[in-house]
Amino acid sequence: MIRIDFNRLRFLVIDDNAHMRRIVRTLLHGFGAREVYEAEDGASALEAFTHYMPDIVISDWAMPIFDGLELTSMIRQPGANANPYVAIIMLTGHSEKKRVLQARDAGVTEFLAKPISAKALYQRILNVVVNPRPFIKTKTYFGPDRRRNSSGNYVGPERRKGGKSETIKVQPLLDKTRSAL
Amino acid sequence: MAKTPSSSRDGAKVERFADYDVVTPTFNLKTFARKTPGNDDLLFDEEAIARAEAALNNLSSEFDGWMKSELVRLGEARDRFVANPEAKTRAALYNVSHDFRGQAATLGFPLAGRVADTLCKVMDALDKAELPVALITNHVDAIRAIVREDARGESHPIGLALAEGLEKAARELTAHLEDAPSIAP
Repeated sequence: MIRIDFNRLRFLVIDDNAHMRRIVRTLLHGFGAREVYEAEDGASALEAFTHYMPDIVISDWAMPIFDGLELTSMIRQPGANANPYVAIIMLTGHSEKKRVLQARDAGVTEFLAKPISAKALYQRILNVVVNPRPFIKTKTYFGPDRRRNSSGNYVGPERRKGGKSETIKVQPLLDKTRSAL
Repeated sequence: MAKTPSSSRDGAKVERFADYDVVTPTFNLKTFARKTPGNDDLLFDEEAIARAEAALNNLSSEFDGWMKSELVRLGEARDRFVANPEAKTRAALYNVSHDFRGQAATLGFPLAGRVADTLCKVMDALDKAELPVALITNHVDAIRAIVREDARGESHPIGLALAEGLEKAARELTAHLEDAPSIAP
C-alpha cells in the first residue's frame, strides 16, 4: 500500500466560501496534514502562494477579484514565481465537460467536482503525488501534459510536430500507482 | 515569515521538439509518498480516508447553522434580483446558487443541491437572456422548503418531487437552445 506523508505536505486552500474552506481543511487534517493555509479570493491566494510555497493548491473556480482559472494561468508562468509546476486541484461546483476542458487548458493538474468526499479528494491528491506528469510548453500552453492516455481510436491530425516524443505514453492509473514507488 | 520550499524546485530537464518542449521538473511530490508493507491491492489508504470522514462527521454538528446562514444568503440574493433584475444582482444570485449546489450535499441536503444545480444550469443556458423570475423564485423556494422540511438524503418524496418537477420545467424552457447544458440529475 502507498502512504502519503501528509504531515510533510503543505496545502493552500482557496475558496470564497468559508464553510467550504473549513470542510476541505477538516478533510486534509483528517488525512494527517498539518500545514493548511487558506485564501478567500484569487488576489490573496497569489500572495499566499508566494508566501507559503505550498506543495498542493486546492482552488475553487468562481471567486472574486480573479477566479481560479485566472489564478492558475498566473501560477503557470515560467519564471514569474518560485514554483510554476505546483500541483493544482480545481475543486468546483462546475461539472460540465466544457468546464473540465477549460480548466485543463488553463493548466490545472486535477479536476474535482463538488460535492466533495474524503475518498475523491484523497484520490486526486494521491494522483498528483504519485503520478507527476511532465509539463508541456508551447506558444499557447504551459502546464501538465494534457495527454494522459494514448488512444488507438484517435483519427485526427497529430498536433505536436517533430519528434519521437509526439505522444508521451502514460500507464493506466492503477498500474502506474502500484509501480510508481 | 515566508516559508521556504522543502527542496529545490528550480531544476527541470527540457526536451525540445519542433513546436513544443517537454519539461520534466527535477522536484516532484513522489518524495512525499512511500510504499508500506501490506496489501498491494489496496490503492487507497483506507485508514486516512476513514479518519477524514470521521473528522467531517465531527464537524457536522455545525452544518445546520451553516445551512441556515446559506439560506439567508440565497433568500437575500433572490430578493435583490427580483427587485432589480440586472447583471450585478443576477451574478450575485448565481454565485450563491453555485455555492449551494457545491456544498448542500455535504451539509446533508443533496436534493437542495440538485435544485440549485438546475437553477445554475438555467442561468447558464439563458446566459444574457431575460430570466423567468417565477421559475427562479420557484427554485429558491424549493431549496428553502427542502431544508425546512428536513428532507435529507436523495430520496425524500417531497424533495424528490420538487427537484424532478423543476428539472422538467427547466428542460422545457431550455430545450430550444443550442449548447444548453444538460439538465439531468
